[in-house]
Amino acid sequence: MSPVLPPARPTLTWAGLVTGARWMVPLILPVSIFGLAVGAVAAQKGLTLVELSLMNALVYAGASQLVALGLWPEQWNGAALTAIALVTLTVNARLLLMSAAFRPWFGPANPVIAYGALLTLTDANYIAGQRYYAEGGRDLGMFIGAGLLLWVVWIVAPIPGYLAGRLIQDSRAFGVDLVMPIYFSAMVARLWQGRNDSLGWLVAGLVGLAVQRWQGGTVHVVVGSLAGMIVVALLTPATKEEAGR
Amino acid sequence: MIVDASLWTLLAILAMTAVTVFVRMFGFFLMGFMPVGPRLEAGFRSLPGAVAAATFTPLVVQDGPSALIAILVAVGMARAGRSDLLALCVALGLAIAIRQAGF
Repeated sequence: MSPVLPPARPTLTWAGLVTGARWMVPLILPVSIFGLAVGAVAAQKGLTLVELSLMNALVYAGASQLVALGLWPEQWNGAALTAIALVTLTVNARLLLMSAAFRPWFGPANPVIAYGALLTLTDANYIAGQRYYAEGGRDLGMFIGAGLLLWVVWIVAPIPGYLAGRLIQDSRAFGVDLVMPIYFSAMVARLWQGRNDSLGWLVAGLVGLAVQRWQGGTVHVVVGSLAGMIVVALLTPATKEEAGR
Repeated sequence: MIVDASLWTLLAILAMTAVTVFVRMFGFFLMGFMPVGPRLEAGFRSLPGAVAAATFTPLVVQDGPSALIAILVAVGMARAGRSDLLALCVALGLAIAIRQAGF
């Protein structure tokens, strides 16, 4: 039995920031298109440009913004405010699982840097970051650089959509709703590592579908992905010795 | 008119920000109290795919052939080593064509 080495303290370099930003270059266009859609919806819901930009800069979670804006009330009160917060929490609950997944990588780092980096957490730098980590990368700059580049895109891109108002009249005919699903699927396809993943992802899909049919809303994302993750964890040998390699 | 901001809207944006920052940090925080073994690490590694499956299966069932074919083409191209952007362009083009054809 070989001794277990303490985890290496991750670095944070300028080169890492540039690497992370480069990972996100193919995403600039799809994220911009998604941003245009959010800007257009915000215009329809009567937000001012300052309000929209503030939301993009502070919330920086496109799917939740789109869903929340879809439910944006005309008359505000405490209940409406709570409902918007709960909807945002539900759509973004997957970020909780994603942030947990960065413990092995960010754990040994300075907590201020680790938590600061997590402020930029989105689906995109989560997936890219996990791939980078799986390939042996440990530079925190990669994650932060990826997050910051898309953050800037996310602040800028919705503005023309807002100004054009109803620029995208029929978003379905132009496949705007499929941009994120297609891109996300292509990225995760590269993370597939064998039968365990196939089984886990199948379970996640079926549980997600069942819960969505039963509950509606967005909670199926959390329940389904947790179910898939548990299946993969249980199929994995508990110790390295058991795995026998 | 497009530069001012109402108090309620600001409050809503701040509430959305608070819950989002919370989920961004809390999972990482919690894991500080749990040892990460090979099982948990394998689970986390597979999580992106599980998120995709749980999110997109209902979408595909609801939306029909355009979404299904687009996602399958994108996955196939990614597995074949094509760039993510190329996979996106081809798959999205196909989906738009299918939808314009009336499906």
